[in-house]
Amino acid sequence: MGKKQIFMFSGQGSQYYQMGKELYQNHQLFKQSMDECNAFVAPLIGMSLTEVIYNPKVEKGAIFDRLLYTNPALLSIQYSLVRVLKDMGVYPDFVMGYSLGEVTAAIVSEAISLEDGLKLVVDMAHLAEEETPQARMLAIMAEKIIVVQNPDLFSKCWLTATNFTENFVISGLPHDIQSLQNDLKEEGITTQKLPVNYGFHTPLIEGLEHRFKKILSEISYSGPVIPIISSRQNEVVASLTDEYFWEVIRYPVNFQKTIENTVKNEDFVFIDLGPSGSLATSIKYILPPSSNSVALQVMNQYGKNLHMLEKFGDNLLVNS
Amino acid sequence: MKTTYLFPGQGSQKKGMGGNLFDEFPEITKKANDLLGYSIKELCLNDPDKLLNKTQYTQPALYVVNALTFQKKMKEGQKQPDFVAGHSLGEYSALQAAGVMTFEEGLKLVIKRGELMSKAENGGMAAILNSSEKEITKTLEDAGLNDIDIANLNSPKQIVVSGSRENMDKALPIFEKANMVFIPLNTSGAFHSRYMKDAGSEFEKIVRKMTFSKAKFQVIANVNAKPYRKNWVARNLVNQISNCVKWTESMEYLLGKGEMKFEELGVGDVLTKLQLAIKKGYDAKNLTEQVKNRPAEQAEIKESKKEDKASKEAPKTSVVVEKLETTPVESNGKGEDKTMLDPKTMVAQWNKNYVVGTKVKSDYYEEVLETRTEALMLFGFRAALYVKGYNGYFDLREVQPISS
Repeated sequence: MGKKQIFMFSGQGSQYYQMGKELYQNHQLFKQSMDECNAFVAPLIGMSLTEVIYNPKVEKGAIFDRLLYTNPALLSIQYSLVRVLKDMGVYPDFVMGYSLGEVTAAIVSEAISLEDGLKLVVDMAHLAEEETPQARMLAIMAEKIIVVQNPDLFSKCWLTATNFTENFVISGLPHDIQSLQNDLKEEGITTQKLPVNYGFHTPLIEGLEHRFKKILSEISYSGPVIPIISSRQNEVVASLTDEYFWEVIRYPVNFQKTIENTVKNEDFVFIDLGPSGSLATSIKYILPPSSNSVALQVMNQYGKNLHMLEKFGDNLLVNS
Repeated sequence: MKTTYLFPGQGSQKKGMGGNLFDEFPEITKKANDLLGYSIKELCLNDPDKLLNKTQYTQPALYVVNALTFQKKMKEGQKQPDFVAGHSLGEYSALQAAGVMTFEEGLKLVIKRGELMSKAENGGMAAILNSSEKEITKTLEDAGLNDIDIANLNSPKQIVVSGSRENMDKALPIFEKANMVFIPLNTSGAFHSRYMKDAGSEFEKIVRKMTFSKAKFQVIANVNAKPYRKNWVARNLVNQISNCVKWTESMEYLLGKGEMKFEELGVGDVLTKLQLAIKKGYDAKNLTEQVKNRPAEQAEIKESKKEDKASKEAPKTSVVVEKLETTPVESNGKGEDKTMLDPKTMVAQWNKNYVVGTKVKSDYYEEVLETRTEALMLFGFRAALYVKGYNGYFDLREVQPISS
């Protein structure tokens, strides 16, 4: 007993249609929380968010990438999952967000209100669509040294995130990312396009800085009740500011370094509340063999939410 | 036609490297095993303990594989190269191939070098793309990041910097603001920077005790991009650890030697790619140099190529002449092949020739489009313009004016 628990919130790219559907249909508290989020978000996006996520007409595997929906959807799902976990008696000692997930982390830490957070991510989507060019993100399954080994390939793209040693994300304009993907394929390097159509974490989104900061200035911050580990600053942040949130979306995420720093002197239970479990997966690659930290998923894209939730409860008992 | 053999350094290692060569050259392999205290074949082919990417293992492993591939060349009856060069660690392979040091002597040095470098921490390295040495130096100076050094000048557009972890973290926003691509690498040591000076001094104790032989063919040194002289060996190898790898200049030196065939030994093709990138820049510089001597076109070129003052008085190789024949330099101001031009020139030429409201076609749209802005530079490299009815911009290379 006694390992501290870190709640982690994933960002853009980890969403998919029907995420959390079984919970929405069967778990009263989850549904209640989703409906509450929806009641606030629907007027902002002009339609019912839950109807978008759980639209029965959407084909399995359809790409869910309209920021205006995916941003509040990711926040609502993960926020609702926090309420489910708390109801099970699982509380965070720390929260940590990856990119957009930092907004959810801020809400759960009580540094900002749920309403401010939801409005912020919807506004962020509007601004990206209005002020910045279409872009693409590419996850690359290789060490970053390939940037040096292939002199010309990366010159029109930007580093977006470092997930673990053999997984990083690059963004750029659609045309440039397409040629990068083709060229890397020729080099025998595996890549995957992420369902995100704007260049967050790169200079491509600088167009929205002015309006974004203006929106941020209307948010009221309080000191976090639960300490926040920042994947931007790679350590605990004392308080949140407008500048902090701008940096979160403008500069690359270094998830690997954040986790490495976090586990340097202590073991933790990392709990991934994201719909894909991708952060927990990354952590498994990052933890040194000697580490006694563990990473657990609560949900993944293969459904069976209730069974997963039960399994998570069991794993937590064994591992804490 | 002259030949240069190139030997790669750290970063090129790959499980499986060396293949059958360990069995084909059992004597060399045994010498390596004896000095290393483990099976080099097992490390390179199977890497069961995941050690190959650790500096202290990477360096000896690459050195051995480089040496084996050179032996293979000689065994096949290839004639000796006229020049050799190696990138960072690869320079030891170049020196060994040239007979400056024996295989064992080189391996002993490389083992020590790998050990010392693996201890480096609290540093970082990053690749900077789309820039130049001058621009990077100025950016660092302006930002007061004066403990970041240029570590590798790999190609005209690819430069690696090294420095303290703290300042490397600060550097990314600054370089991105200056329109450069800055990609931090996963290293904990600031290789080829001032932070390696202590490692260099430790290394010096060993290297000074050794005597070296005369090179059988010319070896180009990383530290100064010049051929080694006999009494330079110890000094160069010590300095190399804490100084910049001048790879672009080294390749330009070799390109200046006339028609040159480059062949990369060891594993991978990193140096081949760099060499091609360097040659492209080198040819372009020479081309500009030649065209500049044609008075009628002088003004045109001056306008489009700002950086041509960097051109050196390198001799014109036959490759350059060939290039001149196949790619005529356009002089009527209308680029037939826009992909040949740099974005600045593309923008300038577009605005010279086309007004706002020009009817254009795009590769990706069926309908006739109409421009609503002049051509402009975005993000420091993208020549673009905006079109009526569309929010996003169009890449200038993807639109063609419709001639009325």
